[in-house]
Amino acid sequence: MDAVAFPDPAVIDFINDNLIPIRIPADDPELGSRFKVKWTPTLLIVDGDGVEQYRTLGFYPPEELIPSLLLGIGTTKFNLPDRPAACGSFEKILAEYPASSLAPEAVYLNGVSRYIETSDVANLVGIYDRLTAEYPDSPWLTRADPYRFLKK
Amino acid sequence: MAEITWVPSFVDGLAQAKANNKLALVDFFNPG
Repeated sequence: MDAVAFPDPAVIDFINDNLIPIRIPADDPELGSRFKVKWTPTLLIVDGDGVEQYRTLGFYPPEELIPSLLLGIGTTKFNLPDRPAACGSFEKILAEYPASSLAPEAVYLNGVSRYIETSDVANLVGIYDRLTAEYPDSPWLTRADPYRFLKK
Repeated sequence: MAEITWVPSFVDGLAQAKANNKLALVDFFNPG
């Protein structure tokens, strides 16, 4: 990550603007064990209480790291729950990084967030329709497949 | 040249996260 992703200007700006970045050696005797870190790079999104909310393992190129972090932020907001804020993160992925490998998951979680907020099944049908139209090869379409039966 | 402003302390980073109402990104790196 130090060679490619972290020196990228867009990555630097995104992390400094949106997160508090903490660096810990993976062999830290307390934190490495506490978070069960077995390989590097391991990136965690944690809340202010130090609770892990999202984890990635392995290298990301700059154009995938930012959507990955947005997905982590959105997932954390989803869990709080602050679903309007979660939708904001997921929709930013879809608007600014539609070609990202993480975009189909953002479609899914955005629709689920909206369904939970509104109880409107159109949001679930919308997941299926958008994944079918824009990401037909994604495994997330398989996860959304039952929603096609909700169509009226 | 701009750099990521890494905080080397987990406790200090969490305190900053709370104070700024942000989430923290924790990079567990290979110290070599």
